[in-house]
Amino acid sequence: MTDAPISVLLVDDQSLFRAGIRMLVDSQPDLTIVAEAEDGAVGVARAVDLRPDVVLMDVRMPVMDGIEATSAILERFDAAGVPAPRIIVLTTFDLDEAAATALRRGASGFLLKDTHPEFLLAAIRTVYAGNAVIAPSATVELFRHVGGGTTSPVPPEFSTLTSREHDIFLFAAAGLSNAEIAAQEFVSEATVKTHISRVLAKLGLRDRVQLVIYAYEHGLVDPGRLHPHG
Amino acid sequence: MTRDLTRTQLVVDGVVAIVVGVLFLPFVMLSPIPGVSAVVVILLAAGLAVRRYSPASALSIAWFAVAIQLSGQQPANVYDAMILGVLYAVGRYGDGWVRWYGLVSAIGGGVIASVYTVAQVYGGGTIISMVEPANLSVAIFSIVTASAAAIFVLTIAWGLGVLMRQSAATRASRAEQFRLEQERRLAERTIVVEQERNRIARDMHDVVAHSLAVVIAQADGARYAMATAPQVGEAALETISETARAALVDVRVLLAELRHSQSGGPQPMIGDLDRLVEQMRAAGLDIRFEESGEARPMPASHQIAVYRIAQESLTNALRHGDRSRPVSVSVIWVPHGVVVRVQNEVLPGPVSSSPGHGIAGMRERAELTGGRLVAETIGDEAFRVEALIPFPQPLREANA
Repeated sequence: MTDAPISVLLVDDQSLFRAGIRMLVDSQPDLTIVAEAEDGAVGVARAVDLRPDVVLMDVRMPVMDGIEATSAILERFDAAGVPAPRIIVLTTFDLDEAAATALRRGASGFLLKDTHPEFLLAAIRTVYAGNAVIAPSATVELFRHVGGGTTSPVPPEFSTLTSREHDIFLFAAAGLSNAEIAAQEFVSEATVKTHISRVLAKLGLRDRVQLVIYAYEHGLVDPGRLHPHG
Repeated sequence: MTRDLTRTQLVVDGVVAIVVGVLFLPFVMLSPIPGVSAVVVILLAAGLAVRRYSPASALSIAWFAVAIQLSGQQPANVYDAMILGVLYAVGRYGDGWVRWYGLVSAIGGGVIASVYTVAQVYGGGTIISMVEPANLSVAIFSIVTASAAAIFVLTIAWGLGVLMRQSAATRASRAEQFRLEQERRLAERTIVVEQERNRIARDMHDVVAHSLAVVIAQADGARYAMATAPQVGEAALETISETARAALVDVRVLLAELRHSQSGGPQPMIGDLDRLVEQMRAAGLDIRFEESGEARPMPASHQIAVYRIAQESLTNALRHGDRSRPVSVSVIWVPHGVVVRVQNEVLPGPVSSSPGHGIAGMRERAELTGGRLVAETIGDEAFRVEALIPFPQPLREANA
C-alpha cells in the first residue's frame, strides 16, 4: 500500500452538508475528498472519471437517487473489469428501506447522517481496507425491519465451505474484524483475509456486508450474538 | 304476511278503528236489521284495525263482512265506506300479490255491489226478478252504470294508496341519495385533511432533518478542520446560525399549520388571507395587500390552494427576501378563476442556491386544481410568484 491518501467522492444534494463533511474528511492526513457531486447522475460520472476509493452516497437526491447511482457505479466498474469503489450510503433514518435496497445492490455499508465524526472517519478507513463491516448490528436490524423477519433456506453452495471457512463465515457475519477473528482462531490476519475472500467467492458475494445480509437472510446468525461495536 | 309495526302504530290503528265504528252507530240503528249491521260494522272496523299490520287479512275480513251483509239482505249502507279505507291500505302497504288482490277486489266488489243494489231496487231483492223481460234492458243499463261508478270509487281508494306508496319510495331514495352525498363529502374532507397532514409531516422532515444534518456536518467539520485552519470556524458558525434560524421560521409555520389542522377547524380559505397577512406583518414583513375583481364562490380545495400558495410565498419572502422593503400580495378575480400574486424584493448578491421544495409544492397545488404557477426573478432585485386557480369546469359555465 502506498502513502497516497484514501480518495473519497462525496455525493449529496445539500451543498452546506457537503461543505461540512469536506472539512471533516480533509482534516485527516490519510483521507481526501477528490470531488463532490450534487446528484446521483453527476456522482456516477465523477466516479467513472476519478475512480475514487470510497464514495459517500446520499439516498434521496434529485435527478438520480443514491440507490440507482450505487447500481450504476458498480455496473460500470464491473463491466470495465476494474475494482469498484466501496460505497457508503448516508441516510437520515436508521430503518430506511432505501438504504437496505442500496446494500442489496452492492453498497458496502450505511451510516446515519448524524453519526459521530470519529465513526464516519473510521468507517471510510474500514470499508477501504475491507477488513470489517461497519455497523453490523444496525445492518441486521435494518434487514430485520424491512425484510419482515422471514428467512429463506440455506443455498447448496453454503455446504461447499470447509469447516474453517464456515467458522470464519460465522465470525464475520457476527461483525468481527479480521484481527478479532485471527485472535479467536489462532491464525494470522493474512490467513483470515484469504479465507474471507474465498468464502465471498464461493457464495458469490461482493463484500463483507453482503455476507452479513446473507447470513441473516438465511437464518445462519443469531442477531443476539452480534458484535457489540456496531 | 304481517308487517313490523311499532306498539304506538298498532294502538293508533285500533283506536281509530273503534272511533270510526262508533261514528257509524246511528246508521246501524236506522238499518232494516240492526243486528246484522252491527256484525258487519264490527267486522269492517276489525279490518280497519289490522289494515297496516296485515293488509291481506284486512281485505279478507272486509269480504267476509260484505258476504254477511248480502246474505242478511241488507242494502248498501254508509258504513261500507270503511271498505275504502281498507282498499287504500292494501294499495299503500300491500306487497306483491296482495296489491293485485286489492285491485281485483275493487273491480269485483264494485260489480257485485251494483248488481245487488239494482236487484234490490228493481226486483224486490232477487236476481230472478231482474231477468223478467220487462225489466231486463233497464236493469242491464243500471247495472253497467252503477258498476262503473262503484268500480271507479273503489279503484280510486286503492290507486291513491299505490300512489302514496310510490311517492314514499321516491322520498326514501332521495333521502338515501342525500345521505350518500353527505358521506361522499365527509370522505373527501377527510382525504383533504389527511393530505394536509402528510404534507406537513413531509415538510417537517425536510426542514428538521436537512437543517440538522447541515448543522451537525458543519459543526463536526469545523471542529476537525480548525486544528489546521482556525479561520474556517467563523464561516461554519455563520452557516450554522443561518441554517438553524431558517429552520426555526419553517418549524414555526409548520407548527401553526399543524395546530390548525389538529384543532379540527376548517381548512383556511381565501377569506382567511387577511389573518395570514396580519400574522406575517407581525413576523416583520411590510405587506401591501389588495384584492380586486368580483369574488365568486369557489370549492374548498381550490381556496386552500390559494391560501397555501400565498402562505408559502410569504414564508419564502420572510426567509430569503429583503425584509426592509415592502412585499405586495394581490388577489385578482378574473372571469375564469382567481389570480394570486406575491412579489418581494431580494437582497442583491448570489441567488439562493436551490429553488427549494416550496416552489415545487406550490406548483403541485396549483396544477391539482387545473391551474398553473409561475415563479421567477424579475431583474436582480425581485422575486414573483403568480398562480392562476381556475373555477371548476361546470361552475365556470354557470358563471358565464
